[in-house]
Amino acid sequence: MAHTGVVYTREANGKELELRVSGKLYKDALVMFDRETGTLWTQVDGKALRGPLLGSRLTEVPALQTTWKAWKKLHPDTLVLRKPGSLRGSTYDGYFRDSSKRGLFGTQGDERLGGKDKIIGVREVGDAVAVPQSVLEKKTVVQFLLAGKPVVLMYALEAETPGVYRAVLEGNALSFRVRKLGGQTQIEDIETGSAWSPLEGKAISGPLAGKHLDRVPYLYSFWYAWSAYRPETRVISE
Amino acid sequence: MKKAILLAAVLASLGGVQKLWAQNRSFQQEKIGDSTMVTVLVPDAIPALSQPVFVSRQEAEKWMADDEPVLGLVDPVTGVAKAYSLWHLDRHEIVNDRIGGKPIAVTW
Repeated sequence: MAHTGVVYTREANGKELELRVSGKLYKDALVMFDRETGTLWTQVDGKALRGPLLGSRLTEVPALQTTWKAWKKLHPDTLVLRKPGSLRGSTYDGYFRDSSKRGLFGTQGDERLGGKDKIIGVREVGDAVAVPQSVLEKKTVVQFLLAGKPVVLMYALEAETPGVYRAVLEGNALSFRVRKLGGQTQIEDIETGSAWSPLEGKAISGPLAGKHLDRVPYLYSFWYAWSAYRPETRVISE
Repeated sequence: MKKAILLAAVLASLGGVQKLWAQNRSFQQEKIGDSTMVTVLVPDAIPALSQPVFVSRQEAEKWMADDEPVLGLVDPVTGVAKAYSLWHLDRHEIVNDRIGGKPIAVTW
């Protein structure tokens, strides 16, 4: 409902958990429960809300949210979760398009952005940063420190999706900029002039060709949900 | 089961739920921290997937649309890539899976 896909390691206290849908909402977003202990977990934050595992937190796993077309180009041998035929669209389509609806119960985000503005959110203990998708689309590259460590967001135009990475390679910080070459936009690092693919976080030409940046887990979410769960978040604007 | 389908349909039609909410404030509510947890469905009314089955790209092409949003993961150990259609996840919200030998949950 918060329009956000998150992948978690489903383990707590060394115990494997099977997560299921509780039918409950917290701050207008999905609450999960585990079959083993009945603990309730928030989907947005991976935090135990109540139950025997209270105080635990699920660890995020980096994933990429993109289109089927862009994904299969990156990974021609990909496996695909089987589904019963060609389901099209979302049961929430009307909801996603209606900017006045914020969850079932009208959870308010704070006023810095519109409730249904899409943001890319990253967080660590003690820090959280939201970048509006509109800002990233305009700038292509947005770089900042998250809990003191450099992070870069690169916008992949062809897939309309962000790639989110640690802006560090083998211990050295990298800074990225956008260069227009003819009609093409190219992302390169200032230190070596290597060109980078935003979807893969991989240097595609130049001295660093073939090197990969580490992915950072992110949430692609509506502002209302992000700011309700992370009121202390910083916002990167223009 | 019928009840679960009905409830899921009600959840899907958010306007409907909002009306229901206005008419009879019967959803169970519980204060946790600075907010309220609200019960709108019974547990498992939306069925999580716990035995996910994967097919090849060639097979998937029969029913995947190019513009279909997916969540993609790469196994850090084997390099195997997996795609989960968000239109499909919409019906389940959670897939319990494994990657790199680790238990993971893809949630939406």
